[in-house]
Amino acid sequence: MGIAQRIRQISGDLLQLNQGTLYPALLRVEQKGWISSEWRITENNRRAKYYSLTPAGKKQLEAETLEWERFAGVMARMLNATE
Amino acid sequence: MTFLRVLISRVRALFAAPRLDRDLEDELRSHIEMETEANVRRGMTPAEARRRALIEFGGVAQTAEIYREARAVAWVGALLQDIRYALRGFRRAPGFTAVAIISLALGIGVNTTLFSLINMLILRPLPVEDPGQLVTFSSQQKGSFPMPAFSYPEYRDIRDQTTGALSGILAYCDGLDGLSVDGRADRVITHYVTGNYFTLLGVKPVLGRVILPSEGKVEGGDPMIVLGYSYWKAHFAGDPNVIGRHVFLNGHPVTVVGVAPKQFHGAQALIDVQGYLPLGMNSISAGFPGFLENRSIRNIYLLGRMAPGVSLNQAQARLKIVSERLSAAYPKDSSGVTVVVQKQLLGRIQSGNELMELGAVFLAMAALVLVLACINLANLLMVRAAARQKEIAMRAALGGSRGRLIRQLLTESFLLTCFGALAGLLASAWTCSALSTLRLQGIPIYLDFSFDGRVLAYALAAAVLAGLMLGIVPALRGSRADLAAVARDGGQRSSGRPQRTRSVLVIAQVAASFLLLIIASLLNRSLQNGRRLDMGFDARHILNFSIDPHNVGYNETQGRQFYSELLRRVRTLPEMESASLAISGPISALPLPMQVQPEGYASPKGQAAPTVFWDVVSRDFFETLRMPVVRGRSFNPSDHEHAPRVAIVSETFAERFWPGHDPVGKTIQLTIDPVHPIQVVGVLRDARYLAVTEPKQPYIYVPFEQNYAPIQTLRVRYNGATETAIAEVLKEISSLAPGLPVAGVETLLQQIDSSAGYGFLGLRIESGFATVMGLLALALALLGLYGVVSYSAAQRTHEIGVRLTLGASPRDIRKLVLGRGLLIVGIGLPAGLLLSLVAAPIVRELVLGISTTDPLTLAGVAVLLACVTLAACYIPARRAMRADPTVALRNE
Repeated sequence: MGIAQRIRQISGDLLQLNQGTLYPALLRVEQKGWISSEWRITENNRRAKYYSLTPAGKKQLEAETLEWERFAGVMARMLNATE
Repeated sequence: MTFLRVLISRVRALFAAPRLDRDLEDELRSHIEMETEANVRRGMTPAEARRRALIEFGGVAQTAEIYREARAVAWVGALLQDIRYALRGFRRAPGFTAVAIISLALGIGVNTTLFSLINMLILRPLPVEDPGQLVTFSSQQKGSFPMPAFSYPEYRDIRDQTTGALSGILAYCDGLDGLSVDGRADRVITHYVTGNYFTLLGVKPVLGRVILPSEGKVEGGDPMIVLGYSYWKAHFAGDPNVIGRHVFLNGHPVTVVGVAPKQFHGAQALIDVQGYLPLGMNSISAGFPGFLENRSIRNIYLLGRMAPGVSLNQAQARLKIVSERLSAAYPKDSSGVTVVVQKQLLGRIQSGNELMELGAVFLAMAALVLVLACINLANLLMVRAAARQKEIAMRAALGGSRGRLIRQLLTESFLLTCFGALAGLLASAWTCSALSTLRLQGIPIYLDFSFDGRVLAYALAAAVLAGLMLGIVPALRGSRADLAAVARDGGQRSSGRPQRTRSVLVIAQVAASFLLLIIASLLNRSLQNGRRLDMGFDARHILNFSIDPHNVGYNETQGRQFYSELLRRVRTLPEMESASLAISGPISALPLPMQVQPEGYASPKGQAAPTVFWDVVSRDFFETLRMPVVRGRSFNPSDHEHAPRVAIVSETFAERFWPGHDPVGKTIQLTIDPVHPIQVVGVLRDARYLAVTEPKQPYIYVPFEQNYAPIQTLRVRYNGATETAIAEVLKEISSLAPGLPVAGVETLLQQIDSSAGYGFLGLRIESGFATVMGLLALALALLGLYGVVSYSAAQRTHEIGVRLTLGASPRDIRKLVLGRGLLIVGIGLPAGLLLSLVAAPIVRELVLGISTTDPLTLAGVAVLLACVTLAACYIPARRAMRADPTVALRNE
C-alpha cells in the first residue's frame, strides 16, 4: 500500500494508479528476479508484505534509468529542434 | 536467463497454487485494511473509509484473476482444468469409460503383441557389433533347392576368395549333445565354431576367454567349451570358478574356458545356444570323420560381415565368380552351384519374405480391428457430444471460444486414448510373457518379446492414430453448437446429419467384420482340412522319445547294444504294440538331405546329382507308423550290419528316377560314400513325411542296423493311458543307461501340432489369431449397431409417444425403430460380401484345400452375421415398442 501512496505523493497526485494493477506488475518484476518480497510487521503492528530491490534489480534499474535518460534526452532535443 | 527464471517461477507456481492463493489473499486484505485505516485517520467513518479504499483499489477479484494468470503458465492451467473436467466426466459415465478403454486396449494390445512378435522374428538384429552388416549364405545347385549348408572346404574357398568384399566370414555347425558334470548329462544345444566366430561378431566374454582364431582347425583338437550365459547361471549357479573345470561332452573331457555374455545367444536368431566349442571338435558330436576336408559333407552354416562401403550387389557379383570357379573346379560336388548372399535379418528364417508377407497380412488385420474400435469410440463420443449439446451451447454462450471447446473435447479423447494405450500395453506385455514360455520339441528357444524402442514406437503410433481418429470427428461436430436450435429443442433432438455419419460408420464396421470373419473361417477350415489329410502314416497312439547314448559317452558298439536291448525290452511291455527308431521320423523338423546317384539315371546337363531326403529307420519302423510297403519287401533281420546294403524308396522316387521300370533290385550310389552302393528292396507308399502340406517328394529310407547313428527318436505305438506309457518307457531307458537325457517326450500328434514350419503350428496360430480378430470385429460391429439403433430410438422417444397416443400399434413402432438397423445391415452385408470377394485372395497362400471364395463359407458367415446383427437391432426396437406413451411424452 505504501508503494501506491508513495507514487501518488512523488507525482504530486498527477499519477493516480488504479492500485489493483500494481500487484500483477510487482509479480512480473519479482518473477524476473529484480525484487524480492517478505512479510514483516509494520509500525502499526500489522502484517504487510515488504518489497526490496535485489542486486540484479539495482543493476537493471541503473540500466533502465540510463536508457530512459538517453531516450528523454533524445526526445528533448527532437522537440527543441522542431521549435 | 530472465526468460528461464520466469518460466521456472511459473512452473513452480503451478504446483504451489493453494499456498500462493492464500498469500495473495492476505496481501490484498492487508492492503485494503491499511488503506481503510489511513482513510479513517483522514476523518472518514469506518464504513466510508472501507468503501473509498475498495474504489481506489479497483476490483479485488479481477486483480486476483489477472495475478493468477500471470503467475502460472496459462495454457497449462487451462489444460489441467480440461483434464480435471474430463476425469470428472469419466467418473460420471463409468460404463462409457470402461467400454471405451477396453475396446481401445484390445485394439492397441492386439497390434502391439503382433508387432512385437514380428519384431522378434524378423526385425530385431542380433545383439552383436554392427548387426546391419551381417549376411547369411545359401547355395543352390541346378535342379535342386536352396540350402543354407556348406562343406568346410567350400567355406574356405568362399572366405578366401571374397576378401575385400567381405571383412570376414565365420562358420559354425550346430549340435545336440550331452553335457555332463558329476555323472548326470543334460541335452544341450551347441555351436561348433571357427576361431573368428566371436571376434567377427565382436562378442566379449563375461568370464574367461572366447575361442581364439588359432583354434578349431584340427579335427578333435582344442577340447574346450565356452558356456552360454543362461546355461552357466542355471547349471553352475553363476559360479565364477567354473573356468578351468573339466566337463564331459558326449563322454569326452573338455575344459571350460569362458562364459558368453548375457545378451548373446548365438549366431542364429531365436535359438539359445548353451555351449560353444571349436569347429574341429564336431567329430565328437554328429560330425562325420574327415568333414574338414570332404566337399560332400555339407554341415556348416556361414555368417559374413560386409566390408565397409561394399553393397550387397557387389558382394553378390563377387560370389558369382566364386560359384563359377567352384562349379568348374569340383564338378562332382559343386557343378552348377550358385552361392547367394542375403542380409542376415531377412535370411534368418528360410522363408523370410513369406514371413514378411504373412506379417503384413496380419498387421493389416490387426490395424483393421483398431480402426473398428476407433469407429465405435467415435460413435460413442458423438452420442456423448449430442447428449451434451445443451452443456456445450451453454459454455459457448458464456464465452467459451470454439477453439477452447474443441480443445476440451480433444483432451477427453486424448485421455481415453492414453488410458486405452496403457491398458493395451499391459495386456500385450502379459500376452507376450505367456507366449515367450513356448518351447519347441525340447529345444531351448529364445523368444525375446521384450519391448524395445521399435515396439514402443509402434504402440505409440497406433495410439496417436487412434486418438486422432476418434477425437477429430466428434470434436468438430460437437463444438458446432447451434445455439438457437438447442434453445428451441432443449437439447433433446439432434439434426439428421450426425445420424447419417454414424450409420455410414456402422455400415463400414459390418462390412469390415464380414471380411475378418471370412478370413477367420477360411483359416479354420484349412486347419480342419489339414487335420483330415491322409498323411500316409497313422499318427495316433504314437509316443516320441529323443535319445542319444553318445551323450553319456557310448561308442558305436555300446550304442548298438543299447538300442537293440531297449527295443527288445520296450516291446515286451504290456501296453506296447510296437517300437522302432528313426533319426528324423515324420514331421520332425529335421530334414536330412542326401545327394544320390540312382542307377541308370543321368542328371540334365550341367546339373549335379539329385538331392533327396532320407531317413535312417529301424526294422519295425514302417509297421509302427503303419506305412504300407506297396512293392518288394520291408526291412527284415537279414539286413544286418554285415549284409549287403539295402534301401526302400518312396513311390515318387521310383517314378521320378526309374519311370516304367521295376525299382526293386536297382542300385543307388551316395555321393558321400560311392564305394558302397545300396540296393532297393521295396517301395513305400508316398507319405507327407517332412511337412504336412508338402507335395509328393522322393524319399529314401535305409536300415538303422546298416547305418548306425547315435541320435535317434524312439517311437512306440501304445494302448491305454499316455502317462503310464511314458513312465514305463522312461523307466526302461534309465535302467539301461542311467543318467541318459531324454528329450522331446510327446505324442506324435502333439509334435505335429507344435511344429512351426512343418506341422500345424503356423496354421493353428494363424487361424487362432484370425478368429480372435474376427470375433473382436464382430463384437465391435454389434456394439456399434446396437448403439446407433438404441440411440435413435431414445432420440425419438417423444415422437414415439405421440404416435402411440395417436393410435400407432407397437408393431408400427418396432418397424419405425428397426428401419435404420435393417438399412445398415442391408447395405453392410452386401458391401462386406463384395469386400471379401475382392480382398480374401490375399490369404490364398495361407489356406489349405479350400477356395478363398468358397460359397459355403461366404454364405455361412453371411447368415451368421445377419442373425446376430438383426438381434442387435431387435433388442432396442423391442424396448421402444414397449414404451409407455405417457412416460414418453412427459420426458420432454
